[in-house]
Amino acid sequence: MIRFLTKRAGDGLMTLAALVTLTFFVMRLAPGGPFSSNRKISPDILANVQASYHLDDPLVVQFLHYVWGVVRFDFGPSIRFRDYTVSEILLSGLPYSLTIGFWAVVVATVVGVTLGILGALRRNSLIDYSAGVVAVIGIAVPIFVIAPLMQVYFALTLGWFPVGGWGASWRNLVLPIVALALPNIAYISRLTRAAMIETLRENYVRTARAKGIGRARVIWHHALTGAILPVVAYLGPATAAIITGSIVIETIFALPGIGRHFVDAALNRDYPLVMGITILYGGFLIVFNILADMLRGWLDPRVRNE
Amino acid sequence: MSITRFSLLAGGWLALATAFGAPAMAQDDTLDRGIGSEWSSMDPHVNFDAAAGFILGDAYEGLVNYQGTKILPGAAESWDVSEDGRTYTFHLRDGLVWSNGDPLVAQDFVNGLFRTLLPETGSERGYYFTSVVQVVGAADIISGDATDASGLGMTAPDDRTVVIQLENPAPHVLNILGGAFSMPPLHSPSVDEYGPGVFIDPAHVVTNGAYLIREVVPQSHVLLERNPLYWDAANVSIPFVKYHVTEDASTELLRYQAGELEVTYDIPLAQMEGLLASDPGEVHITPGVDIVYYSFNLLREPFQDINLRRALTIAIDRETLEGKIVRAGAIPNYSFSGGFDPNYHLPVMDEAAMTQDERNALAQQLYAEAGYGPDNPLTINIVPTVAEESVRRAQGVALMWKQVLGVNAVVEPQERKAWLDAFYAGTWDVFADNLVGDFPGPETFLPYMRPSAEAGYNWVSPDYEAAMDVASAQTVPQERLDALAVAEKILLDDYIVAPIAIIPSRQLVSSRVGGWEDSPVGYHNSQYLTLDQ
Amino acid sequence: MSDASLAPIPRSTLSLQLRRFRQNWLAMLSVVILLAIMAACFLGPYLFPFDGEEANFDAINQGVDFTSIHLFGTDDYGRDLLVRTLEGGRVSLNIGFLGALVAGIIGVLYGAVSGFVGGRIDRVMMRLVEVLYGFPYVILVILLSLLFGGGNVALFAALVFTLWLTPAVIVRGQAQSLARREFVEAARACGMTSRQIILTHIVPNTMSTVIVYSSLLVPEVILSESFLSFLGIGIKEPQASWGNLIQGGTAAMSTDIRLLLLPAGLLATVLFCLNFIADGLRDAFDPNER
Repeated sequence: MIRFLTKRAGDGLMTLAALVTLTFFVMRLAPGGPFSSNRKISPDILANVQASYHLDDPLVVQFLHYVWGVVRFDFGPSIRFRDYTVSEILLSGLPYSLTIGFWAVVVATVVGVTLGILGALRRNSLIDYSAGVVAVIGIAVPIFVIAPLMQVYFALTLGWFPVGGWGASWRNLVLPIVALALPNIAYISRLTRAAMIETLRENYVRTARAKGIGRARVIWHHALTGAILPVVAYLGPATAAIITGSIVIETIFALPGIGRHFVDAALNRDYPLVMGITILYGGFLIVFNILADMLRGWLDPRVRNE
Repeated sequence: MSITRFSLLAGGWLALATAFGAPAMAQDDTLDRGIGSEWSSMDPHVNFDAAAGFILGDAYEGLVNYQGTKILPGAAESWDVSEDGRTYTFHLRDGLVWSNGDPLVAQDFVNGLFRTLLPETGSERGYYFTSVVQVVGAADIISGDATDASGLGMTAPDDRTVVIQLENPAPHVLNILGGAFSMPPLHSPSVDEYGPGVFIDPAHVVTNGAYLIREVVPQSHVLLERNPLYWDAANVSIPFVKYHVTEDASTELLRYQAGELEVTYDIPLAQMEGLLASDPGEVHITPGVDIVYYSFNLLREPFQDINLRRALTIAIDRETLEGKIVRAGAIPNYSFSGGFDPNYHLPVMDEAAMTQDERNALAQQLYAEAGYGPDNPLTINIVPTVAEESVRRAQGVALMWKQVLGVNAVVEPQERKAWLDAFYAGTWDVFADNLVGDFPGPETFLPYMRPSAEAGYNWVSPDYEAAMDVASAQTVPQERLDALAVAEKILLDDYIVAPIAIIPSRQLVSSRVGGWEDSPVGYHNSQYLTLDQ
Repeated sequence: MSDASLAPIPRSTLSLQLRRFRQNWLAMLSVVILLAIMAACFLGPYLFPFDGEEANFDAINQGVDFTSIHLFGTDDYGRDLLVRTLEGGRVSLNIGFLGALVAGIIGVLYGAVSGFVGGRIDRVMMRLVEVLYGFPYVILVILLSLLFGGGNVALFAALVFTLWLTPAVIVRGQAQSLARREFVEAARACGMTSRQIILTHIVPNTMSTVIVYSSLLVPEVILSESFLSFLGIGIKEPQASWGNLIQGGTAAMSTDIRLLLLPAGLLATVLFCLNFIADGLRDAFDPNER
């Protein structure tokens, strides 16, 4: 296990290094720069502004400068939000995204797996079809449609939850968590159902049943383990994506998370922020993929992590 | 700086910890305003966007102040202009103080400008003092040729007098000394001690406006509280103002309807008609100093023919375009600069008096004269940004060119930065252009079109250049405006751009808010507003 | 053994599977509905005397009226909503199915190889997936539009680029388990090459997951397309797609829900059908179900 972890951690660092290098140079190929604006600004002023971000150095020098900063956990200043460094922006927004994302993952996994199992156990029953309907709605109706509908109904009509913003109440969290969880419920429940049907027919499950082990026990101990393997693989990258926030959810519910930076930083050509968010997301991705692989190895001895 | 950083982080995690506490109390003594996207910087010498301008206009006061379209005395109670129109002398009020009680002196204003211009500050706002007006010596500081303020044409002969010297007469200088784009003074002790981070640090930031900065939460809000030491504090009615980041107009509308906001930043286009029908008193649509025009690529062969440019310009039915297609409340524009100054005799294009049918007939004739027809149609692209409004407008124009002239126009929307880049790269036939002004008057737009400004239009016109030279030498306001009108007519007659519309500001203002005056530049300082319970 | 294993499934099995699929009335019904929607999208617009891009400023925002020529009314340019929705369906179903298919195939093959071969190759292949996951998507899209000019090639590349990654990860996990199963060990013992084992044993056994996942990819592709047009590539107005119709309908949702309901309803119906068809196919091809 220790060997596995060291190896994966080493791999992870190399992956991250590759990602940083690739992103740093490739993003500069995008047209426009952080200071392009409608009005042409005089060259002297532009030079001063660029110099204050070292954007006037040769690209390779900028890269070395950046890497040296990253090694010391200094991700540089943001260009779009000039009062803050990239670390400040990410650390101040992360709690919101993490909170919403964590609960969304929990809700999506619990609800999705439950719906999937129920559907698989009672195939073509009412409950199976209802689970299917939930899944279809979760996917076919995009968040930018569902979220405003929820706002109108639950916030304006019923007045149960606020429309948006981050207040001092758990009520602010409910709608965004549900909206963020919905599409994932769909994926997880469909994956679970398919895998569950398959596992229920596997020899080991049949053997267990033949041995007289109770139905509930078989489902819980044997079938479920097999059925959630694809879900665990799915959850590796999905968790990294969910807990780093969603621009749609954050703009619609006016939440100060970091999800919006994935789109806005690139649109604003805020190079340091693009790099920062890429490293953060890349880091989460690597960690959750390691966790997913470990979890699968533990659930299914056939997945040996050499 | 370290304190700022810590409190910022602590704020985020604290909000998290208290997320499960009691529901938020509605504060009735707080005016909640939407500002669209987040402010770029709370540093008053650096910020270069409208969102920051709203907030900083409340927190800092320049030499003058603005209410609606009026220029009011601000920190200066009066001012004199020299005979040649190049020297402005401002007399500060007696007993002005900063929010921490320090006396506010004339030198603080000089230091404010000096800091704005210094290369280390890296501020884009130097633009106002070298391009919009030319303050003596400003360009030398920006370029690094001068390293102190000795050559700067802004001085403080005594504690209550500020003198500004300009290279050229510029009556519009009063329009950039106050309000959202004010030239705020600098409180040197706090900036020296805490660095530029002080501007987001409520514990140490020092302001001189009607409000103090109480809370700065990125991506969320800025909370301001009435400044008891402000010279006119007795007339500031609203105790607290909270500026909320409202990036999504639909959500902003819902929050407004739920009573979470009293003033919005925008109105979703699709909802405009419904709101005008249900709450007409709360919908405020005001022409803003933001003009849209379609630029023709003069470097490409077809557009070197004035007949073609003119045909395309007049074949656009602006009333139908804005009234039926775009429906964003924009005002059809037949001039370039759109007016805004009641004393300006706005020139319009020759065809403005015609009906659209007459224009279409003339356009078809000109189109044919330029050598195009059904067998030989013109094929061009239009490059707008991906914003909904701008795409809809481009599609409308393309449809009209197709219907009237048979032109095959392809709309190729581009993401904003790529769109800006495309302009200078010249990879377009027709560019869906726009220009945002800094103050209500023709002079915020016309100098930008001067061939010598090299703004990228590749227009050669000694006549326009000469006419603008005549105008900028004028010191008498009305004569200056008349000379500008001559220049604008030259611009219109050459059809190098097709004027389209004036973009309005669209806001919802609750009936609880009193004292709201429509302003083309969007000046709505909270100190002039009231809030009913 | 080597060549026989690559041969198509014997006729008797295939007809058995088809019969089993036909017996699944829900799946069959779904097939019928899906074909009907496709036929409507591909042929329907020709029944009308105008096309979906034809604006009529004298007939803006007409409501549903089955007695008029505009059955479901017009949009805010006076364009016929039904015809636009059908034309949009043509575009969206095309990119949806093609996108999901291509992403699915790349994902399955990549994941199967990575999981089955294992070892160093698996490590490198999966790290590559992580780098691609991590690369900022918006930048990628902007660059693709620069490279391919914002047309359909750029659209397709941008859609497929990231969508194959998740199926690859899932299939790789399945393949890891399968690689140690008795029948795979047996196949190896019989001298089958890795390529043969992957194609005959690994890929078919991951099919049930893949079919289900791909059926969810179709709507995802259709909806992502509208996000991409926000970045300036993809289907451009006035050309309709379900993505931009739904987006436009959402903006007008509170004033005129009709603009949202028609395209979103059709998309949901297609997804329902795909769902049941996917389940039916899965059951029919399940080797364990006899």
